[in-house]
Amino acid sequence: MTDDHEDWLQPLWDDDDESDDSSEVLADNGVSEVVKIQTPDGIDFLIVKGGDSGAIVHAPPAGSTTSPGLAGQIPNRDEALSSGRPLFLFTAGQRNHVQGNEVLSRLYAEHGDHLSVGVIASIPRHNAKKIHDTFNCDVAAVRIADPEGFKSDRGSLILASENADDYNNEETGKAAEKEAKRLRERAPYLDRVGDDDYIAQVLDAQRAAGANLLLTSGRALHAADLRKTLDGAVDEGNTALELLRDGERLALNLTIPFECMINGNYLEVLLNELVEQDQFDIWYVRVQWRRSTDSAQPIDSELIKGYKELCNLSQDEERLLILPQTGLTGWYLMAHGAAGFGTGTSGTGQGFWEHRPVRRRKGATNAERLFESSLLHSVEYSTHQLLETEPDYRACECRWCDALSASGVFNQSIAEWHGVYNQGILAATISRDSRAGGYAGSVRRIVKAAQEFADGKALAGREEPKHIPVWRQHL
Amino acid sequence: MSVDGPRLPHAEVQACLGSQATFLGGGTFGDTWRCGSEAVKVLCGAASDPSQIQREINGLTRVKHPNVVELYEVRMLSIGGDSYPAMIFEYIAGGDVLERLLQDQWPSTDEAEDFLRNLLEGINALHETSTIHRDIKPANIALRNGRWNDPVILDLGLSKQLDARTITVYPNLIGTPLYMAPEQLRGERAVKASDLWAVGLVTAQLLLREHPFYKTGENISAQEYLDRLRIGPPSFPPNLKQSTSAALKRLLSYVAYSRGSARSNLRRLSEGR
Repeated sequence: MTDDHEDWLQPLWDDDDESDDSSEVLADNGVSEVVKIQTPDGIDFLIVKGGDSGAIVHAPPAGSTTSPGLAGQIPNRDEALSSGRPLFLFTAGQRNHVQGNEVLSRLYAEHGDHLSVGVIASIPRHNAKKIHDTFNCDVAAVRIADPEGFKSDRGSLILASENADDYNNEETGKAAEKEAKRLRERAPYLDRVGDDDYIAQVLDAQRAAGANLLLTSGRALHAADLRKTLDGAVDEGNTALELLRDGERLALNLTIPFECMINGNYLEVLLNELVEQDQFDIWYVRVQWRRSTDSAQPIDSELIKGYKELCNLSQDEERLLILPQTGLTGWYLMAHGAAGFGTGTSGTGQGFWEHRPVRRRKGATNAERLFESSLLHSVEYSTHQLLETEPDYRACECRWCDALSASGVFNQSIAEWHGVYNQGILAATISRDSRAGGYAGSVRRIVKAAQEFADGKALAGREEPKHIPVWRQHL
Repeated sequence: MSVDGPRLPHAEVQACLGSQATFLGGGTFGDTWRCGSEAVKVLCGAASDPSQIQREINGLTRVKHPNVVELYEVRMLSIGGDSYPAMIFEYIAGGDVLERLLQDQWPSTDEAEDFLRNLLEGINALHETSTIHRDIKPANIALRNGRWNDPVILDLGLSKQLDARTITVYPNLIGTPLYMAPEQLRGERAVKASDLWAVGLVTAQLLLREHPFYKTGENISAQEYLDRLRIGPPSFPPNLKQSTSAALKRLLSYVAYSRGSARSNLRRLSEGR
């Protein structure tokens, strides 16, 4: 196993938040940028660049520049959930929150008519400051503090072991145990499954974090005991509904093993139950993806087929389906009826993959990859530079690409923000261009264009967008 | 299952309900009598725990919908020295679908379409109170004032006892599986979609003028019957609206979730798709 087969895989631990959030990846010389925004009181200013990005202020900061245009009034949670616009959920990662707020505020300022914006933080994986910083973004109409209850019992998921004895490398084992301890300190309910007030603890943790859309715990379903674990999830949801306070809303949070989405019998049990339990109007569904060394998106046709059934059903039954940790695949699934998707800068933010330990050679570095909207795929920076010379190439004009071009040097952080921003643009695009054929028609056109752009280009191995043919098969 | 006459002596029932009480029919769990504008179901059939019955039907008294028979109350009646729980319903004049089928009377296509829509409205009202009927069949659908376009769902409450777990207790209920959904026939628990199957099946029968999956007098195994259900219904009359035909095919989907909910089916019908 070589490093270059592994560098888009999740690290041993999910994003941790111990890294320094203060580091800036873009030099903005302290100059901020604002856009006028409609508010209930009149016209205010949304900061779209600089340290206070995401905030709405009555007067532009001194020295700031005001961009043209007027952003619409920010919807409240319920308006965002019922608008019919794609719900773009930025998932907190290890990079600094200022950039996250900038991405979201820019997306809202430029595409708010076609996009609703929200944020997701993890209660076990993120400390209180990280969650606060993530939620401190005025354009985020939906705030989710994911309890990630599947970390309690793991179900039939494949996750990193928390037991040091399972590791050959002593240091890695110690780190695993330390991380497991830290998760439980942040999310004490993970060890309280079975307590009479377990569900209340899960809800309270989300309230304390500042969430405005509450989730059930999201304990994992077991393929081998699907009926029982599904009943447990529904029972928990019913209890949670009873515990809601005025104005609160709840999503049924399901964590589903890969087998349950690709096996027709399991899927039937799952979907039957979702239709049956019509007290839940929002489904928050996380499916663990089987590892592929060959593609950055899942390319298992049966998985996409299972997702498609789920999405179609949610749309037919007018339930809101939110797909956290799905990235570009989540974007694609909006063609089939998903209401929103979660994405982030890291592999973890963009996919809930089965865990596989990463072995890196000493001194190995991350591959330099950049998301190409034209291809719906990330490629090596050197490939990107070759693509730029193609006559049918459409250059990205985002602030992050400008920064990359200006420096001429690849920067991982900048590339990641460009990727998140462009996924937001793609989400807005399918709403804006939905007149012919709805979201499905719009996605079909974008995916077809990506296929046509890829055709004839020298894209081999990991540079090849292998998910595109699978997607087209199901469109 | 039906019984030819009342289980309890006519005179004793009249002594309790009044001299005008007339016997309407019997079912698995009891006999139904008409008393003026009320129908009284006396639960004198299978042994029943009154408190359990009370719990099960409490929610039903909240269902107020023109396509669902109104349950006024449950009370204990003393008949012939014994005490029986009784459900007091509104009385629906006009007979039921089974009676019409036995008389070879069928609705027009337009009437059948209205029948479907209004039956779905009734089922939707039930499902919104988290109630599953579990035993929708021609005998349990009244026609208010004899009109096909005004079906009323009957026999609420006790049907909860008719799921797979109780088939072993009441094996004679196997006598009415012709309206049961595939999942019920497989011994799985009934779900809301099981009611939708039955709604689709009864309506399909009205349009086709025969059961879509079974011909009277046929001798087929349960597996053969299930195989037919999996294949799906035969073609519907060509003058049927496309949206109704699509709805019936959806309601007769072998897989429960593919039937959707009563609400989504109503929405699609209203949108003409």
